[in-house]
Amino acid sequence: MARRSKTGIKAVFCILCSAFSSVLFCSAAPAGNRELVEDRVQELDELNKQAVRQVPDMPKDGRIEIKAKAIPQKEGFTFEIYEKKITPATPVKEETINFGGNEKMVDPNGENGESGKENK
Amino acid sequence: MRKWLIQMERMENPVKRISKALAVAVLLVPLLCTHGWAGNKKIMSTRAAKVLAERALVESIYGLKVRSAEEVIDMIPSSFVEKTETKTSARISGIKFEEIVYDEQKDIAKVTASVSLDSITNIDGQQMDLKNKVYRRVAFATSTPSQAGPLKALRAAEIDAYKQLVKRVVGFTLESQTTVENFILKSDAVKTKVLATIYLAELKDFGWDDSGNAFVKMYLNVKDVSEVLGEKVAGEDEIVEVEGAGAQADDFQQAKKGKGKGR
Repeated sequence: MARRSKTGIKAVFCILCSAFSSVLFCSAAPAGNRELVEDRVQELDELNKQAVRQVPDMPKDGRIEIKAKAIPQKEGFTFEIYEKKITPATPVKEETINFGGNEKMVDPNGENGESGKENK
Repeated sequence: MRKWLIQMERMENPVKRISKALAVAVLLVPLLCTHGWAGNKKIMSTRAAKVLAERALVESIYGLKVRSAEEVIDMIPSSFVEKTETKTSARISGIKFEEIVYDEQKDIAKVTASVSLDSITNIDGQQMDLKNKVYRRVAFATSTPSQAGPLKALRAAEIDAYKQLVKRVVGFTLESQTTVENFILKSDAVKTKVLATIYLAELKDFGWDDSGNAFVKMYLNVKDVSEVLGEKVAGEDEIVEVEGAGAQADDFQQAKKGKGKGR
């Protein structure tokens, strides 16, 4: 008799488990926005490059900051840049650097300034 | 011995009875509950869909204000932030509900509304001669939060479509920082902003793809706008068509939450 009651409880438990698991596994998770965001980021990148290419004095290396108004055309946009800031990169000299000896710094205060005096 | 066995059997019976009752309850309760709530949900969902269809017509004819900003850093998708707000407020009389459909299983109502107006003053205060053209929009609604996913995605796609229409008709501002190396451009930060009103946008098509993302195709006949306003509008010969997209879940937010929990 004890075995029959245990069997009954097990049967009920199995029914409940199968009911809950069918709800969990049958519901498909909806798609997210990953692909949409990636496409939009790509679009923004292309729009920006299109705008920046219109900057006339673009340096070979550096940084460009712009503010522009995008004007719709039949196909795409044209950009009216109303603010720009170009920072050319500091050129890197390729030279041999020697350690040892004195190396005089350029005195920002001028030749006769106190910082130019040497210690005796 | 026999008495003892009878006593044991009587003790086990309550357990058996309870188990049987529980099994029956598990099977019957969902059926009974669904049947009991269907009437109220149908009314609520249908009413909500009617209101949303009216809103859609107001947005189409009277117009709406669209404010949007998007920003991305180093072109990394997880850094992308976009926010679009829309606003409208008007009263249009004479709206007819051509078709009302209700899905009882999903608790989703679909309403098609239409209106035909002689003239209207739009969101910019301009008088528009509509010549009794029929404008038609569709809206969905539900009273069951678990069914709202596809409908939210559709609304997101609608708003995205309005934004794109504004960008294509009015334009937008762009601010950016870009690094140049050997004349090769690398976008560091890009930001776009839009603030404008739009009216007479019409719905061409809408739906959901296999992955559950929604799409909405809208168009604006610029020539019609010129005629309605009685003044020339730039790009007069054009029909501007755009496609908006909306998703049911934010993958990047979920990823960020997952990272946070891991710490």
